[in-house]
Parts: sequence; structure tokens; C-alpha cells
Amino acid sequence: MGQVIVITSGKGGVGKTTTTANLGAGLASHGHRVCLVDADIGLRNLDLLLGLENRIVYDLVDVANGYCKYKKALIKSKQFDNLFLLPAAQTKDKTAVRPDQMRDLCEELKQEFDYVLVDSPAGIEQGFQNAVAGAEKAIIVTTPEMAALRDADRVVGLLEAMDKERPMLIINRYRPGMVRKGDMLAIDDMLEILAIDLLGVVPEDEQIVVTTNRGEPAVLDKHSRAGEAYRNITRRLMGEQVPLMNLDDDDGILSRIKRVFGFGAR
Amino acid sequence: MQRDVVFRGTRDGLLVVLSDGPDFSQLLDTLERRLEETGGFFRGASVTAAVLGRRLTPEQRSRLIHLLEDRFGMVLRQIREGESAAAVLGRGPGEPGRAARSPGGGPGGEGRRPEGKEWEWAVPAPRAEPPLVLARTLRSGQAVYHRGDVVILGDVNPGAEVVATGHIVVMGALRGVAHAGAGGDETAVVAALRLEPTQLRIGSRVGRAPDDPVREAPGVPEVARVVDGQIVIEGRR
Repeated sequence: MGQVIVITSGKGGVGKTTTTANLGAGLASHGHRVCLVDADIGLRNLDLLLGLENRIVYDLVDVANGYCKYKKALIKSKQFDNLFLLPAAQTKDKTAVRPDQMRDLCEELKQEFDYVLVDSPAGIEQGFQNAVAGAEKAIIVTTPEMAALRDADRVVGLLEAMDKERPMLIINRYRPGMVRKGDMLAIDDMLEILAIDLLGVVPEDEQIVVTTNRGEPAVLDKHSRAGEAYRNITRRLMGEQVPLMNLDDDDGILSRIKRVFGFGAR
Repeated sequence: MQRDVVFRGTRDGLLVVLSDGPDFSQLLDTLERRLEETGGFFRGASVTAAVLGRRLTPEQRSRLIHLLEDRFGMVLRQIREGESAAAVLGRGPGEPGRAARSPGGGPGGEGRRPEGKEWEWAVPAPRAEPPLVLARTLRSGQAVYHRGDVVILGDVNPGAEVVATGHIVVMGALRGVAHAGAGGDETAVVAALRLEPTQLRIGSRVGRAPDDPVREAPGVPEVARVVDGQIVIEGRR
């Protein structure tokens, strides 16, 4: 029997959907059977990131309300035979599904799949409640910004109150150069406040925009730095011990020379 | 029409005026209903109760105290008994539309004049509950309200809130909002191993973190208290 993991953040725009797509593709590349569930009803995006928008016939609302079997709604990904998407409805809203329906659906899906990843909408209202209802684990995505951090903390608190397993943290769009200059929150500062386990840090990577628009997850791109981070995260999720990648590589030869000679801050 | 129960905000907190209607139990029922409608809004509020035109029996008094303090968590400062509406409110109750009159009510004014005597019945120190010890971290959006002292064994994160009528002690980092002495007690203190609050309130005083973070937390436990009407922070070593 598989596990159901919700990917959530509180704040919007921090990379929940990108993370879901990449972890899904990453897990699938290791041969696991993976189902991605887009719980962002009314603001459907996950299909785009996988390049599957033109194949949607049935959606989550149809399945949850019993209009069709979930197998009819599943869409197989282009890259893997073992990666499926259960898309959100675009014409409805979050109230079209109830938490107990989501719980039943997740229960059914994890009989069939090794990993069920639920992409949560932003916010803490019904859409969030739906997304977390059937999940036993949670991954919190945040960026190194005060607003994202506070929302993440709020969500961790809500999950704790629901007696979920201790959530794991992904810090997204991290820019070591800015952190060194004191312009961005450092990893340790964020961990001190959130006090949950770090699953990984994804560096800021312009390449993500390209892969996202192309519908090919960055995790499959051997040259992408964000892709490398997602590959590491995938392995950690499967229980391997993988050290944090060296995040400093990307800020240019000059600043590295400066550091060697003791100029730039640390 | 005279209203049975009137709420009034004053500088010293909330003023609750009970009319001199004949049936005191009915008045209490009305008060209870009105307070229920506020949904706990006045919890921790400092309140003065004024009972018009009568002296309470000990039994009635304890029912009133029980209702305000135990049932709705308010901090009763004082019960005033036997005064007229004019003396308490500065005008007849239930006549908000009319211009305020001089406290005497004027010649021929309706309403009974006080029988000379004014009763003030001071309530002893707020009957606090035992200290609340909370062995966890308060995260953003979580809040604790307690009548009495609060001890948090954990952090209070930004966006979280602790409100206590007594002291607040945080055995961890206080980064959210803390309100000690919420009933008006300005001798209350806020202590934390790392005192970096978004905002501190003690009694009716409010202090906040400076806009420019000039002050680096010194890494030692600190205590905030009110000195000369201002919240000051003292280090402890």
C-alpha cells in the first residue's frame, strides 16, 4: 500500500505545483507508481506543467462525486508509463468537493499507487482542508521570505492540530548570494522558526520557467540545478541519506575568488 | 423605553449598567444573553458593574461576580450599587437620542434621585486561575488566552499571540505578540529567553519592535515591564 503526501504552503506562488510535478516525475523515474492529484479546483495548473492539458476529459470533481471511476479520469504522463495525473476541474470551485470525499479517494488511490502526491491550493480554507484530508504526510514548500515563512508556520500549526505526521520542509528559490549579503533569510533562520525536518533546498533557477512552459519537469533535465535539487529530494523522500548539494556554485567566479581572499561576507 | 442592560466603554474599561428593574434574576439573564452575543469579545476585559437603585444581597453579588468573571472571563474591578442612571452614565439610560443632561437630571426630571448614599464595593484582586503551562510552540495564527499567568515551554512565533491577565513567561523565543496584565494590571511582566516580540502589551501600554532593527537580541533572558508608564526591557544575566 502506498502513501499519500500533500504538498502545501499557505502562501501562493512559492512553487507547490512545480514541486509536485518534479517530485512526481522524480519518483516515477525510480520506477515507482505515482499518482498526482491536482486539488486546486478552479485554478488548474498541474496539467500544464506536465504538458497534459489537452487530454483532460474527466476530473477530480467528477471522480469525487461518483460521476466516473477514478481510472477513467487518470491521464498517463508523456514521459513515464507509471506516472499519472488526476486533474482538477477548471470550471468549478473548491466547494465542489468535500474532505470526506477526498479521504475516500486517497484511500482508493493508495491501493493502486506507491505514491499519491496531492497538490494543495494556496490558502487555509476549504481547498486546503480538502487537499490535506486524505494525506498522512505533508511537504511544506516555502521561499526565503518573511511572508512565505509566516504562512508556512501557520500551515504547520494547522497540520499539527490535525495529528498528521510531522511535515517536511522544502525551501524553494533559494539565492545564496543574497543570503550572504543579508538580503534574504538563511536556511538556519527558517529552520529555527519552523522547527521541522528539512527535505531539501532548491536554488533559484531561470531554467525552471523554460521547463515549466514546455511541460517537461526540470528533474529530468541533467543540466538544471533546480533539477539536481529535486533529484536529491526525491531520493530523500524514498528514504535515502543524501547530503545537501553545494548551493554556492552559481554565484560566479568573482565572488568565489573574493571569498578565498576573505573579502565578501563569509 | 429604559433598557435593562447598557454597555459603555470608558477610559477605565467596560462599564456595565444594570437597570433598577424589579427582577434581578431577569436582569442577569438579559446580561448573560447580551454577553453571549459578543462571543467572548470581552474576555479578559476590565469591567465595572453598576447596579442602579438597589443594594445587592451577598447572594446576588456573588451571582453577578460569577457571571462576569467565571462565565465570561472578565476582570471585575468594581461593583457600584445604588446609584442613579444619571450619576453613572451622565444621563438617563436608554435615551441615547436625547441630549445629555447635567448629572442632576434637572428639575422635574424623571428617574429616582439617589437616596444620598453611594455604594462602592471593591472587588479583591482578580480571582486568577492557576498558571497555564503550555509545553509546545505557538505557531502563526495560534493564540492563548488565560486569566492568570502563562508559561510557554517553547517558542511564540511571529503571528502567534499570548494574552494573559497575569505574567507571561516564555521559555524559548518570543517573536509574536504578548499581552500581559490584560485586565489592566501594569505590574505584570513579560519574560523570555529570547525577547524579540513583534509587539508587547502590558496592561494598557503598547510597545513594538523598532522599525529599524537597531537592537540585536543579546542572547540572554530578558524581562519587559512598565516603568513610568513605558514598557522597558531589562536584561538578566
